[in-house]
Amino acid sequence: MRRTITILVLPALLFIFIFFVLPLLFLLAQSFQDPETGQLTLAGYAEFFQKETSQIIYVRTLRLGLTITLINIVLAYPASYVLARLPAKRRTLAMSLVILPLMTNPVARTYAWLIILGRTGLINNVLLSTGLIESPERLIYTEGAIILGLTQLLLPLMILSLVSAMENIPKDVEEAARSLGANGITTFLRVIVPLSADGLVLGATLVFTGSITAYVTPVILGGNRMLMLSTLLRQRAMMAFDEQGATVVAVVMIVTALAVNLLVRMLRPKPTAQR
Amino acid sequence: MLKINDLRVEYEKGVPTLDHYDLTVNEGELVSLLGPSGCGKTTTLRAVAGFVDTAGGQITISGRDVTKIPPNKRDIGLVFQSYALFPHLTVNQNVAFGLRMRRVTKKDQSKRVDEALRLVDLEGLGERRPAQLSGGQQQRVALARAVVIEPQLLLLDEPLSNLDAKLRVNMRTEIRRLQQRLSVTTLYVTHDQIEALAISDRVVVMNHGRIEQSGTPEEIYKQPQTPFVADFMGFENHFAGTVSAVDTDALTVQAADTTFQASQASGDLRAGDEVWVYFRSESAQLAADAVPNSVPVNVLLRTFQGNAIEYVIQSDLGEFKVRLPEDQVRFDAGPAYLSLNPDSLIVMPK
Ligand SMILES: Nc1ncnc2c1ncn2[C@@H]1O[C@H](COP(=O)(O)OP(=O)(O)OP(=O)(O)O)[C@@H](O)[C@H]1O
Ligand SMILES: [Mg+2]
Repeated sequence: MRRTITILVLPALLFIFIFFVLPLLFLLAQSFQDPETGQLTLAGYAEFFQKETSQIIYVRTLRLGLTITLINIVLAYPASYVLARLPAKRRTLAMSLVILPLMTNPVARTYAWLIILGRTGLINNVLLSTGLIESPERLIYTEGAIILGLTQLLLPLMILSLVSAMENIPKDVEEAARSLGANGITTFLRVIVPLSADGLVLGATLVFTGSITAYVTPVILGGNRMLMLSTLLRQRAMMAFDEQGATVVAVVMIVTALAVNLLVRMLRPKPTAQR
Repeated sequence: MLKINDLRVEYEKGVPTLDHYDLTVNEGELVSLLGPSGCGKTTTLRAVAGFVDTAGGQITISGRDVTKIPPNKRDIGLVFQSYALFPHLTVNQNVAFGLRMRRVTKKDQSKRVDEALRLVDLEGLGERRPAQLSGGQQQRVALARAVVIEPQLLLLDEPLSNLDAKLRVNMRTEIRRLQQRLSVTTLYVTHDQIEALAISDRVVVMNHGRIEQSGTPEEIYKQPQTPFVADFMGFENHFAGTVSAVDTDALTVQAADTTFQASQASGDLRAGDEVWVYFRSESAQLAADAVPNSVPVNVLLRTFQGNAIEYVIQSDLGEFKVRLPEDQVRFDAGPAYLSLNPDSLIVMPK
């Protein structure tokens, strides 16, 4: 039995090791190497954390990640509850609509935002024609634009995580709370939320990691004015040809994502699922 | 006191699951709803609890019309088949939930929780989570949680069906004792006849969303008034006949070539009425020779059933089952007489 399991798992592990872990290790090594002499050095990290621009970008990335995650939680919780309580057939249909955004091309999806937010986009047009503003507002290349774009992109992940957790909450338990005197909101807060904590943790991790590592959306909606770690990475690697700088950014990004994952996992409430 | 007046429930528009439904549970009474799967027992309970919308009629609890009032304001204790405990809360917190919602002070909460847990024999388990309890213990917590709020009405939906047979009998007695001690008005759903008979002040037999008969356990057991209730209460045999004479307390029924005397009649029967005659397989006798109130039969099969011997017999009136005590004279396959005591025959209009 043991051996069979090993044999079954081995190919996938090997694949992950060769094509994911190994390159990461190289990346890590490179970030500590002086590009000229090849000697071990912390200069890359020192530069990253001392430079004001990269400090601003790092903090911004964390802030945006956090904001987007919070917005996603607030938007997804009620929606997921409704979805989870739909009759099975309609739920399947509704869920495929929810994940539709994930199935469209990210570039096309993001350009749709340009049509809405651009200088001559929908919103500016409406505001101009109603006379609310005199000249077009800059809506694109702002933090708001990035938040909008990433929320739209990642909301399905949050909803999927929450719905699959909520589906497992028996209707009886909810009704028990109601019969004991809890109104709808109290039942939601005291029963639904604690019993879907696993889904919340999963969803929040996915959304946070997704938003600090997303690339296409920040490129198009943030551009060079509103850099995030991922776009900074591209700038370092592709435009400044600063290979070590790029690897430093990459490592910082990965470590941050991992650290947040661990932190959330440590803070998560005790396993609640019965069964 | 619970009063249901002309209730109608539709899950699908125009298709009633319950219709013209009237039911009263008096103060402190335990009434059970008994009926086959799908007859609408749970639906009735859920309508009373406020979880299904009514399409007509009125539900009154202790004089208050609750038909349009949400479940959390009905002051009802509810016990589910699945127990439906809060898995993320301890036993204490589960039981305290309803008290918290009622803004009872922390001190009173813990006093009443302790008291309720003592009532169901669960002292000392308050810090456990539901997952760390046995099925029977979970059921007790559910019970404690429902009664600790001192509800106007207690509703139980097949509370024992997830327990094993022995525990079921014990818990049944405990529930009844608790109910009487608190004298809480209770509606109890079950599809188990024995359970219903044992636990109730009154039994309501349901079929297809309607009430077939309502009465004390004895009435239901001994005097079913419809073929459905007779079948459901274990009257295994019946035959068709015609009333030939009616006396003050006796009835003569003609069936095939035989005349039977029957001493009870449900409903007002008159001579000439077509009727069904029901009898239990344990209340019949076999005889070697013709006796009053008997019919010639042919014994087809004899089976040993521990404390009883069961016979399958054939007569002009149809095939019957007769169960005789194990220590009685045995009959072999072949001719005999089926003798029916007038008191054991239930006659009802066809
Ligand atoms: N949520 C629902 N939607 C549609 N139909 C339902 C729903 N719940 C119950 N029904 C139908 O209503 C009828 C009565 O159901 P109900 O659950 O009240 O039966 P029951 O007497 O409790 O049966 P059981 O002994 O199996 O629990 C059944 O035909 C059932 O299919
Ligand atoms: Mg039911």
